[in-house]
Amino acid sequence: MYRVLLRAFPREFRSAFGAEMTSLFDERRHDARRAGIAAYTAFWIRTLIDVTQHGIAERRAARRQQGDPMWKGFVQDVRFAARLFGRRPGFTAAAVLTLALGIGLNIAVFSVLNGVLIRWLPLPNVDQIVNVSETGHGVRHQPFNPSNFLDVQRGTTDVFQAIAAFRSLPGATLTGFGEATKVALTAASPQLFDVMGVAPLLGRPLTAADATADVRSIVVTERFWRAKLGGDSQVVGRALELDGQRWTIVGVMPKDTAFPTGTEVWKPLIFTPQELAARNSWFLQAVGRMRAAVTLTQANASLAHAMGLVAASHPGPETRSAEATDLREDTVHLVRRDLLFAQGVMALILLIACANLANLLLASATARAHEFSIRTSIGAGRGRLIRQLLAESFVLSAAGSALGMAIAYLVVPAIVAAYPGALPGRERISVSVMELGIACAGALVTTLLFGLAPAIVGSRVAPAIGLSETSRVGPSRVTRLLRSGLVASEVALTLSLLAGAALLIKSFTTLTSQPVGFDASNVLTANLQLPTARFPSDEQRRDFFARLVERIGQDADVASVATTLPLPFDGHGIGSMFRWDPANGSPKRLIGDIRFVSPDILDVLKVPLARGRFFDARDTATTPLVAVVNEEFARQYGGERDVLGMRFQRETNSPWITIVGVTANVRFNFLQTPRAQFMFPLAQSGPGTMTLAVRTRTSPERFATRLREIVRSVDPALPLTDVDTLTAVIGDSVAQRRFNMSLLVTLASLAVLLSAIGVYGVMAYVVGQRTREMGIRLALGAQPSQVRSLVVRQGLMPVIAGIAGGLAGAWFLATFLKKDLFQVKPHDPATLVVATAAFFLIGVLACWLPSRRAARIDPIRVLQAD
Amino acid sequence: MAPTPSLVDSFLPLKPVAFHVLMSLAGGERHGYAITQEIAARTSARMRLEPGNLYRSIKALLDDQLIEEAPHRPSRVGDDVRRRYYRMTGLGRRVAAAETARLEELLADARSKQWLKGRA
Repeated sequence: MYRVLLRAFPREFRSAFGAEMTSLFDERRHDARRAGIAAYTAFWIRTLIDVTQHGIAERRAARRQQGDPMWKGFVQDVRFAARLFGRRPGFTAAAVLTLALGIGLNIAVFSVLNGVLIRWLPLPNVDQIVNVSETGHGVRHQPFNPSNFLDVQRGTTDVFQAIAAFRSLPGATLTGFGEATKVALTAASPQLFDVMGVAPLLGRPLTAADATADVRSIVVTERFWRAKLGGDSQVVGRALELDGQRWTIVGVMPKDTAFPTGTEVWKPLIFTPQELAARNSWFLQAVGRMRAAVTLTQANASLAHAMGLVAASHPGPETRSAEATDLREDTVHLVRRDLLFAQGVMALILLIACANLANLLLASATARAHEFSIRTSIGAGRGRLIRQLLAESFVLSAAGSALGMAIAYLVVPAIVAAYPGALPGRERISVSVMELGIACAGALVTTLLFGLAPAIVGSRVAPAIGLSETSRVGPSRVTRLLRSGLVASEVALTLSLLAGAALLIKSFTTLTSQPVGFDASNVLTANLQLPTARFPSDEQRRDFFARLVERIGQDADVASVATTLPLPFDGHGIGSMFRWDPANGSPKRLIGDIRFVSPDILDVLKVPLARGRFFDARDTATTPLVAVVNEEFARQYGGERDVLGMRFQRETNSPWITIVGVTANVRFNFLQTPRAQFMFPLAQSGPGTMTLAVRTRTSPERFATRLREIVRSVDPALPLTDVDTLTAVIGDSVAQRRFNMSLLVTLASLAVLLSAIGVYGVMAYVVGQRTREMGIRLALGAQPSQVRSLVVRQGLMPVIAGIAGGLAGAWFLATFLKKDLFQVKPHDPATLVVATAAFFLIGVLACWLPSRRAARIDPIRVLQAD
Repeated sequence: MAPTPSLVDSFLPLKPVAFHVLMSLAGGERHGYAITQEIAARTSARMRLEPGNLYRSIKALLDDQLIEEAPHRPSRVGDDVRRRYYRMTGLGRRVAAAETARLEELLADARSKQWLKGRA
């Protein structure tokens, strides 16, 4: 393959260096293959750019030395092509736009792929940075315990240059800069900056001296510095207020080094004596920078040894270990599949566009047989004709690529904004020089894809026949076969995409039509977090939420209001385990999801109470603890017995909790059936974060501003976040699936449109070429309906062949989509039949429209034209 | 005959890729893959030379007689026969030295104007 690409270089250069270049290419390819699929893809892209760029440069240099007439001929051909297309603006505009869409969308998706997968975190020797985590109960990627981490840090200096722990905090409230806003905060040990391996832009990183409670130093990211601090070069030493406390900025880190992704501010990670004493709580993430030449295997061996020493000195109920894993792989594996799939689909769209254009150019070349015959008869070789036709294709490709770059520039921000999930490295996504190189390479590749075959076939002219003004010979058999093959190919590709889109639509509809167990209409939700500095006790937090709920409930537009943690469908579940009262019989352990709620939550969500009672004024901090469970709990743990009145506890010797009510099941996401659930009253707990749920009498969207005003009137320093209707929250829970479905549906629709235009275009051209034949048929007594059905039948042959190929393609694509389907088989026959029938009807329509023209031919006029 | 200063100066300023190739050969004879590996290691992977880029540069350096093909190869065992080994010529050494001096002078100039304040 590389030897073929080397033909971009002049012959003399290839003779001198071709063998060495191939040897170097083989070595580099071997290295890239070992580094993984992202590196291998990047390697091929760099190779294509290198061959294109330097091959052309070397040829130009050689021509400058030799005064090559071929280059002058090429320039002439390009000028001729530009004039030719200028005389056919409609055709040119359609061709360029088709290419621009195909190339532009490919570049756009590639930009995202490049920023997320290829142009990974721009830190020095980033492949040496690994995730470090604990493993236990056979489960990997678990957080670290603080004391375990410190022991591992001390015990692995042989393999790690630096190893750091951090925790992403829920976000502090920044005040003093206009309205209070949330800031993404990470508490990190000072070694994190050694792991990153870059010096700050301004000031210094955090050090061990900052890890004392009274110092309060922070480091900010470059993005935060520009957005919130105006890029002030004197920012070091400036103070900020976070959660009501003053912090001093000691450093600003360079661009694109926000780690973990999304961080805006780093503060020191400080452990309390209780956290250091307890070996049974795990909440830290860790990363390490391996020493040069240390492999992952060696790092894992050292980690296992260090944790073995910890286990020996602090034996626990289970054996825990530690593990290092590739940081890039851990971060991108969730989005990689989606991005590669999107790129693959875009490439198919480009192929369909190229097939369309190839047919158009083939028809155009056939129509120019007379012109080519003249040129051949006065000495032009076939190679010269092919070169000219390729130059014409190149002009279209170059214009399409240039416009495609502009389209990509506009589309990339839209894709990034529309992508529903976390896109790691979002801030690194842009249309850059690499994408420009891809556009140039794309121009060449598409020239060959849609221009070469028509150029080779269309330049086959027999001068004696072509020169005759009365020539009656139509397109050759090769031309007809090529034309049919192109139509069949684009039909096959389109049907594959259409079937895939139909499967995703069916799956999404099945998923979201499941009953949720509550009424989401007219409910506005918002999150509120109380800083521990100002609300240190459970009682203060409970009182605040109770006051707030009462204040909101006084508004005329509010039918009912409550607090809940978590909210159904907001993606956060809290699982827990309890101990059943032995008097209840087996089982001993209860496992389920827990919620903290205020008394009116059933009114707000309209959830029926099946039996017993819900929480009310009787349940306070000083009364016996109570809980309400759901029907799934009652079925799973009660069986034939009624669970009302039964008791459980968090662990041995903790207070008993009595079940006082049972509610209907409420779904927390579409993918899981409702699990056993425990609800506890807000009055007997004290979480610092709650979600407000407000049922409004009018539109919940309109109440959002009023809600903010009410909260501000109770406490101006507390921002509401994630203000949204419950319907939107439910919609967001399936946003990723909806995005994938919408993308495939949009692209499949584009493919159908391109294919339909392609089939129609070919049939319209064929009818035009066979006007005389149709006229003679009609003159000899054929009925218009017979002529129509002849045209439709012949037009449908390649469509049917394409459908057969498309079914095979759909089979393959459906297997790839298996993970995205919910309760729908990948090879669902009904969906395939519907997609096939729909496309067949479109094919019939695309053939039928030109057939009407054929049936209306006036045979007398045709015969007179002879 | 020793190259005159005007002959050496006529090659300056060197293109960055050419300078890196010469620096790579300063340590002795190397083939193409070894040159790219050495440059990547020396620049912490900031400069990765693809074959087209590298061999255009090698061709230009050969044409200018700043490098030449080494007459001897190491033992055939484990060696790819397609590889050719290159080394600097005397002229190449002088040109590399002159380029180094030119860059040092430029750096000193920039420092004196305090454009590189605060950096080691």
